[in-house]
Amino acid sequence: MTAVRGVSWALWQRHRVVLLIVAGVVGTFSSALATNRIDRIPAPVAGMGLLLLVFAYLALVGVFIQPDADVATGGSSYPVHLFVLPVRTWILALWPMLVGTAAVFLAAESVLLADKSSGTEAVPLWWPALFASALLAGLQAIFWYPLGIPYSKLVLTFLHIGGLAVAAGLAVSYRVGEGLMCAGLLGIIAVSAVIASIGVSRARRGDIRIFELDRRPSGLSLQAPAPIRAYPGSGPAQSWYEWRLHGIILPMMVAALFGLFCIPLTVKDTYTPVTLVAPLGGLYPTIPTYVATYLPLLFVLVPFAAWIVGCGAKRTDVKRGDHTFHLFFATRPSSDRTLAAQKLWCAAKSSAVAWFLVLLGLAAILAGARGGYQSVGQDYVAPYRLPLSTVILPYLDETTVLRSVAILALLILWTWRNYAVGFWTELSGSLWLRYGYPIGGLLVASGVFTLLYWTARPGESWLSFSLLAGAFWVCVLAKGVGLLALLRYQRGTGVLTPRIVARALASYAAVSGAIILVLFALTGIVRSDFMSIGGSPLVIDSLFVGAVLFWVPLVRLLAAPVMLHHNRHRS
Amino acid sequence: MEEPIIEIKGLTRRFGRNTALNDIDLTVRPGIVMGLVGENGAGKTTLIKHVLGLLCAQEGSVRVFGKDPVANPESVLSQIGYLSEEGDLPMWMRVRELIRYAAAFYPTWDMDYAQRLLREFSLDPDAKLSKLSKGQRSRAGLLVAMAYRPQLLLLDEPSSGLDPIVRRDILGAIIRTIADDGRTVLFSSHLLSEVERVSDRIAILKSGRILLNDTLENVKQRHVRVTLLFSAARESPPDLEGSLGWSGGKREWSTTYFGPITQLEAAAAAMGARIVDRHGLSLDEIFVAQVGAA
Repeated sequence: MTAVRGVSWALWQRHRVVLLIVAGVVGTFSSALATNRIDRIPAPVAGMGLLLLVFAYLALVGVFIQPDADVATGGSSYPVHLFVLPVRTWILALWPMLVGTAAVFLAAESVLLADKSSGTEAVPLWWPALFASALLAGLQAIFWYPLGIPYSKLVLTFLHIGGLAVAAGLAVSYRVGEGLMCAGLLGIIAVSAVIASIGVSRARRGDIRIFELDRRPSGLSLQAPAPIRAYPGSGPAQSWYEWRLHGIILPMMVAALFGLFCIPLTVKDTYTPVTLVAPLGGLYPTIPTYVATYLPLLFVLVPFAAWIVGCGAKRTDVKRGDHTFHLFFATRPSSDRTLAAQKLWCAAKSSAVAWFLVLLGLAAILAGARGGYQSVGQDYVAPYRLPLSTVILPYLDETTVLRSVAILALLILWTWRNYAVGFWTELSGSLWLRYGYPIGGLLVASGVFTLLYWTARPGESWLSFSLLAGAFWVCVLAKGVGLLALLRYQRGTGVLTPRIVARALASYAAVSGAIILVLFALTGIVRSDFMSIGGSPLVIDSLFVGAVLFWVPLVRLLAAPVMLHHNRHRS
Repeated sequence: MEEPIIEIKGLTRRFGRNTALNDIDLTVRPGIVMGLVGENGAGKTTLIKHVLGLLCAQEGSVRVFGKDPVANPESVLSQIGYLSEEGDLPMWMRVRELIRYAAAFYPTWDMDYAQRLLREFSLDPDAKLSKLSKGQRSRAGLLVAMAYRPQLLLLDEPSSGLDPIVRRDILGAIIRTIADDGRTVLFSSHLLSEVERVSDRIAILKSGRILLNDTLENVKQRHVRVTLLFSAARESPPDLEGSLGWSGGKREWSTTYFGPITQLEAAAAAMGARIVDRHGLSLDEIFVAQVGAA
C-alpha cells in the first residue's frame, strides 16, 4: 500500500492544480445540468460548456498519460523518474491506469446522471462513460509501450480515437445493446492494461529497439564517407529543420486519418444521390452513403488537426521545466524574425502537403469506390458498379470546378491559419499564456453569450444577425487595439519595423479582400436564405465582411516573432 | 589597444529574489583564453547566457564584438562557437545532417576542416546523435562549434562528466584555437587543472560577484601558503590583511595569503613572527581558499 500511496502522491503533487480545475469544471457543468434540461440551456452556452468539458477530458488524458518524451519518440513516454521507485512494475503501470480510468468514468458518469436527473430522456447511462475510460486506457497503452517506430504513437493515437469513434457510431446505428457495448469497452480497457504493463516493463529494463531504415552494422565503415554538402543558405537549412521537426506531423496525421476513413469503404454500403449538382438526362450521380456523410467531415477535420498540431502536438522547441528554447535553436545565428518566418513558412508547406495527400486520397476514392445513377424520381437506373470518377466527372462543369478550387484554396488557407495562430503562445514560453489564452477566450465567449441570453427581452430572439454582425465588428476593433498594444510592447526590440508592419497590413488587406470576394461569389444562396429569415442585405453583408476581417489573423501572426524574441532573450 | 571581444559593465541579473549576477565588470580582449571558475550556482552559465544574448541585461550592459548580442543575434552568434555541458543537440539528427545544417549558417565554415575533425574524432557521419555516447555527442558539438573557426569559442563546462580522452580533445581544440590566428576562448569549468593548463586569465565567481580577475601568472604569484612561527603562543589567529583563513595553533599558524609578498614579510615582522615555510599553490588550492574565505 505504501508503494501505491507513493505513486498516487507523485501524481497528485505534479498535477493537483489541473485536477482541481477539472473537478471544478465537471462539478459546475453537472450542477447546471441537474437543474436545467440540456435543451433548455441556450445552444451556444451549452456548446461552450461542452467544449470546456472536452478540454477537461483532454486535461485528464494529459495528466494520466504523464508523457515525459515527445510524441514522435519510438520509445516509451512513461516518466523515467518513476522507474527508480522501489515499486513493482505492474503497480507503476496499472495504478495510474486504474486511477485515470476511474476518474474519467466518475466525471463522465456525474454529467450523465445530472442530465438524466433533469428529465432528459433516452440518455445512455453507462457506455459513454466507459467509452471515455477506454479511450484513455488505449492512449496510455500507446504512449507507454516502446513501439520502436518514430511517430507511430501519433498514427496509432488517431487510429485508436477514430476506430473507437467509428465502432461506437456503428454500434449505436445498429442498435447494439448497452450491455454488449459495455462488455466490449471493458475488454478494450483490459487489453490496454496488459499492453501498458508489458510496455512499462520493457521500458523499465531498457528493452527498447528503435526501428531505423538503414540498419547498418555498428562501427565505422572502412570506406571514406560520402562528401557532405551544406545547404545553399541558412533559409533552406532552417526550412529543412522546421520541416523535419514539425512540418511532417500534420501530413502524417492526415494520411492516418484518410487511411482510417477508407477502411469502411470496403464494406457494402447504401448509396445516396448527390443532388447538389444539376441532373444530366434526368439522372443524379449516386455515391456510397458513407462517403457522402463523412467526407465533408474529413475536410473539416484537416484544419482542426492543424489547430491541434499548431498548439503543440508536435516536437517542441522549448525545454520542459523553464520553457526556454533549446540552446541549439536559441543560438542559431539568425534573427528572431527569420526564425519565426521559417515557422510560418513551414506551416504553409505542411498545410499544402496535407491537402495534397487529401487530394490523392480523394483520387483513390474516385478510382476505387463504386457508384451509379438515380433518376430524379428516385428510381434506380444503373447497378452501382461504376468507378466514382466515371459517375461524377460528367457532372463537373466549369463553374463547379472553379467553385471547388476556390473552396480548396479557402480550406488550405484555413488549415494554415489554424496551424499558425497558436505560434505566439507556444513560442512565448509562458504556460499561463499557452493554456490561459484558449481557455480564457472560451470563458469570455461563454460569458458574453450567457449575458445576451439572460438580458434578452421576452419574446425576442437573444441572438440576431445585427447583434452577431456588431459582435464581429467589435472583435475587429479589438484586433486594432491589440495591434497597437503589440507595437507598443515590442518597441525597442526592433522585431517589427514600420516596413514589416506596413507589409503585414497590406497582406492582411489583400488576403481579407480576396476571401471576401470569393465568399461573396460562393455564398449567394446562403445570404439570400439569411435575408429571407429576417436579415437586411446590409446587415448580412456586414456580417460576412466583419467575420472575414475577424477570422484572418494579423495580430497573432505578428506576435509570433515578438514572443520568440521575448523567450529567446529573456529579460 | 584592440577592441575587447567581450565587454561587460555593471551587469546585474535577478531571478525573483535571487541575485544571480551582481554588478559584474568583465573585459575579454582578443587572443586570450579566459577561464571562468566558480561553485555551482555562482553565475557562470548566467554570465555566458548574457554573452550569447539569451538573457537581456536587467542592469548594466553587455557588448560582444562591440555589439549588443540581444539586438544583433545574427552578427554576434555567427562569430561565436558555443558548446555547453547540456549538449542540447537535436537528437533526431544524424551527424551528417547536423554538419549540413550548421554549415549553412556560417559564411566561414570550412568543410575540409569539418571532415578532418570528423575523422579525428572518429565520428560516423551516418550515426544518429541519439545513438552516440555522451563523449561522442560532445565531440559532435565541438565539431560544429569549431568548423567555422569562430572568433570567440565559448565553452560552458564542456568537459563535465566526460572521460579523459574526450576532455583531451576539448582541451586540444582550445589549444588549436589559440594557435589558429590567436582567437579568443572563454570557458567555464570545474576541472581547475584544465583551466590552469590553458588559461591566460582566470575569473573566479562567487554568489554572482567576481572575486578575482587577473592573469594566471599574477594569480599564482600573489597566492602563497605560509607558516608563521610566533615568539609566544596565541589563542586566536592573528589579524593579517590578505589572509584567506588560518589553521594551526599555539606558536605555529598557517595561512593562504593573497597579496604582495613584500607586504606579508613586513606584516609578519610587525606581529613578531617569522615565516618558516612558504610555497606556491595550485589553482585548485587558490580556488578553495578564495571561495571558502569569501
